[in-house]
Amino acid sequence: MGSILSYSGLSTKIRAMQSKLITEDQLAEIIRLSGVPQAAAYLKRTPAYADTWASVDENNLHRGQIEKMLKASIFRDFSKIYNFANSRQRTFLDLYSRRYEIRVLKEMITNLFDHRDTDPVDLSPYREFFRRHSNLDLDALNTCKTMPEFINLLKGNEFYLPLSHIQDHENALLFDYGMALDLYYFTQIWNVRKKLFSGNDLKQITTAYGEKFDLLNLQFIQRSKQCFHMQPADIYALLIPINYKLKKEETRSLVETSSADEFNAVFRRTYYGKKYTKLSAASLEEFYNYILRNILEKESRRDPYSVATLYSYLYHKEHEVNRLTIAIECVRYGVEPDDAMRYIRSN
Amino acid sequence: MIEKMKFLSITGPKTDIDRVVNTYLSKYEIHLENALSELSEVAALSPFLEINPYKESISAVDRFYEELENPQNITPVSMTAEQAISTIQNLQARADELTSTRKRLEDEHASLIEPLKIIRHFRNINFKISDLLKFQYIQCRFGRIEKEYFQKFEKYIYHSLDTIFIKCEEGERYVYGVYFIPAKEASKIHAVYASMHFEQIYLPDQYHGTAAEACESLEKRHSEIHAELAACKEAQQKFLQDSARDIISAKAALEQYSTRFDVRRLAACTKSKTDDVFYILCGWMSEKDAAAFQKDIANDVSVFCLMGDDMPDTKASMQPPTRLKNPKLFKPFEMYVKMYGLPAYNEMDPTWFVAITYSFIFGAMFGDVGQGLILFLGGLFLYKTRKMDLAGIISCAGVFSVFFGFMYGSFFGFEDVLKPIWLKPMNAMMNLPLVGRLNVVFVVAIAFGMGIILICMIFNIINAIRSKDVERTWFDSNAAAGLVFYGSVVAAIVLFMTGRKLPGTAILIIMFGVPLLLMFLKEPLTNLVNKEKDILPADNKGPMFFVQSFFELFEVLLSYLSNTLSFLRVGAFAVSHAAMMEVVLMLAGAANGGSPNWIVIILGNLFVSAMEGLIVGIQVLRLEYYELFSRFYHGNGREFRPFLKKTAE
Repeated sequence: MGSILSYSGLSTKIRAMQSKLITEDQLAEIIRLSGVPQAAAYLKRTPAYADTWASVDENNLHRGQIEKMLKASIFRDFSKIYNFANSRQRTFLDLYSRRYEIRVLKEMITNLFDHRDTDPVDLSPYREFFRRHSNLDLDALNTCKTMPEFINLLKGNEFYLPLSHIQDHENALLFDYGMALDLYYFTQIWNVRKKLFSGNDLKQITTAYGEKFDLLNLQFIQRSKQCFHMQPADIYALLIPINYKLKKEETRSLVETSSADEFNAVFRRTYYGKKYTKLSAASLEEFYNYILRNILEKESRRDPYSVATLYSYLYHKEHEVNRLTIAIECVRYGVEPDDAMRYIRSN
Repeated sequence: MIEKMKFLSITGPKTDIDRVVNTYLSKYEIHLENALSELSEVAALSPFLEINPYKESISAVDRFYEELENPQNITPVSMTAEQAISTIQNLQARADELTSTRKRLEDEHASLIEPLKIIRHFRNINFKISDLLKFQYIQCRFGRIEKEYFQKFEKYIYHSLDTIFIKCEEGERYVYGVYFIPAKEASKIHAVYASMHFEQIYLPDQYHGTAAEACESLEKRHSEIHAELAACKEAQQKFLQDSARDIISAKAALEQYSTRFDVRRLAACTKSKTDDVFYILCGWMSEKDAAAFQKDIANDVSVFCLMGDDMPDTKASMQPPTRLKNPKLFKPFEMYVKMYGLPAYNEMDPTWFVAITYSFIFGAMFGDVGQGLILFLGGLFLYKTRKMDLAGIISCAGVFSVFFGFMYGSFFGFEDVLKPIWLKPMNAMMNLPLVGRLNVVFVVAIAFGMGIILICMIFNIINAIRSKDVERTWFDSNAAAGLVFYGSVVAAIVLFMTGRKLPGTAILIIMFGVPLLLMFLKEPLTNLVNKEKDILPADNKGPMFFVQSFFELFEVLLSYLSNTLSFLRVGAFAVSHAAMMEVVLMLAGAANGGSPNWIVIILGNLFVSAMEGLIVGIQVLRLEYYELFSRFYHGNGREFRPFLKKTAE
């Protein structure tokens, strides 16, 4: 009962917003357009972008600018939901918004490691959002020239510790820093979930994130074996230290397999191998998004008055932006509509 | 008053200088001049060069002195120079001993702390460390793994790897431990550990016994060292405390000897082929001291003293130094004079004049019996306890404030408690011809100001005569010419205002015109009197001179007017004081005859006396400096600085 009361307003709001998301049919129309300005004009006519893009002249828009505007729309939707949410729902949103912080931090670190004289990260899509939902000083961070300087500036922030630990390692790479941020975020969510949530919300968050972590681990193992031929010990070092449905023994035997067939056989016996019969070990990567979406949609359908609705919408919004970005890229480079649609679907 | 000074030249055998300084110069205050530059025309003089033997000991004792906690509380005992130096040497030796002990302990601590820090992590290994390091077929590595990796290591790898990991300490971030592997497979397994971010820690082969024993013995020694260091520190502290009196006495004695020794820097030596070299010291002494000194050395065969009355040559540096000597009552006011500049030796000391006019004007501007009494008592208290000159001045001013309080009939702002002896500044009015109706205090203030200005002109003339300055005696705007002109104006105004008849036009023209003409031509006239070659000033001849003089004259007339009007402020503040207190009473509700709010009365009185006291104090000082001092006072004297302060005997 309680959850219906507390979620009724928000889930109605979300359902309204959800109806404005770009559908697959619309995407199919977009990729048939002749150029980027036409695509922008098309988006301007959709209810989701009509208001905020009204003042923009699509003829002068560069593809990069459109991408930035799309990125900003994610934050706008997040803020809309945030303003509507009550304090308990906000704890989830606050936790969730870390992923945006990590995203921009990663962009900046990439820039630091990229020793070409690249321009600093364009903060314009982030600024407004971060002013409200984060205590990172983006502008100061963006002026840093070296990694130690960058990390030093983060002192006092929760991300300082994981990053400074990496700094102690010899020859730490961009990958290590990104990994450290992700691992910190994941373990953080996993550890605080029981404190912050209870009942239905807790169950849903556990399912959604648990399966996500398992899938990511599966993907890691598969990728590092197939593409990078890494030693088992090195693979273990990279795994997210969380097991949900994927058992310890299963993980170990997956890592220790010596061939793709063997891997596939082991995978079949796991929870995921049984659940998604269509899924093969080789297509893990492509199916990651599909499965995740599936889980979220199912959860939010089964229980519309729960935190799953929030998570699901935010996921879909980001997904929409990703797909639109691809679609516009395809338009720009004149990719055949059928190929373009395949790229979009696989994402 | 300025004390009369005598110029003394003291001479005697070079080796005798210290005795003379110690026996005579420490008794009398003397302002020494640099003998070499004073007697520069005597060619056969050389500086008295000798290295100060006390410098080293002083810097040593200063180091001790800085570490003392409250050195002011200890009174020094007197010591001879030899005693002081040997005391310092003893102290230094003892201190060096303590420092070297401390240094040794600190070194040991430094060499110990690193192995201790390492072994602490591995203290639960119950095996001899040195034996572990010597294994032949089994390799072992000490080190640590980050916790998250350790969890993965335990979960996925450990049981299938040919290794034994012994967990030692578990910190917040790291798990410390040692792993053993067969030497055969070393490289492979090392690689696995490296993948799990195992960081090796190198153990020096210097531990005795098992890790626990080694750790324990090191820790014991570590705490021993700390105890010893603390003891050492305490010993140093105690040593300082015990020898505080010695340090302070030695410092005082050495500083005294060193200063006396430094008399050489101002002395000169005669040059001589033989051994009979003489020193020469010269300087100023007050007349009284000089006479006593002469008498004192009369029987001393090795000291000769020449005393000059008037200085034969008039070099700038030969101007005698100024030492003010005033009655105790006026002494605080020397502060204001010194702030402006000390009077030159032959100038008049304006302290008494400042004392009287300052207090008087302050009182007139701030006339209130109650507040004046508070100023008087508060000032007196601070002056006696804190020796603040300013407090003394306030106290004097307070007396006049009380006096004028009675004159105005004002007591803490209550205007009807006392009957005014003279008038109420706010209400007393009078009619003047040409000007109209005016407050009496304004008129009196202007009249008073005119009087003061005239007096200042007279002072200027006296000072000028003393310094034999013709221009400032006769032709300047503050000299005789100015006095006559300004005096005539004053007289004319007084006659006019009192309604009497003015003297005839011819007399007026002579009285006003002649002084103005003299002022106009002051430079040529001065040159004429001094019998200079060029009568007109050298830099601007001809018409330029007349144009310049005309504007200067114009400015002089304007400044007479503005300086006179400046005294209006005396009356204005007398009125404003009464007005401000009226406001206070109004706020307190006393104006309507009801019972007043006493808190408002007290706060209001405090506020008014603080603010007005400050403003009036500053305004009067401005009057003193600007209207009065600028007329007659230069303040370019040198201060009398005794080479040695008179030792209290």
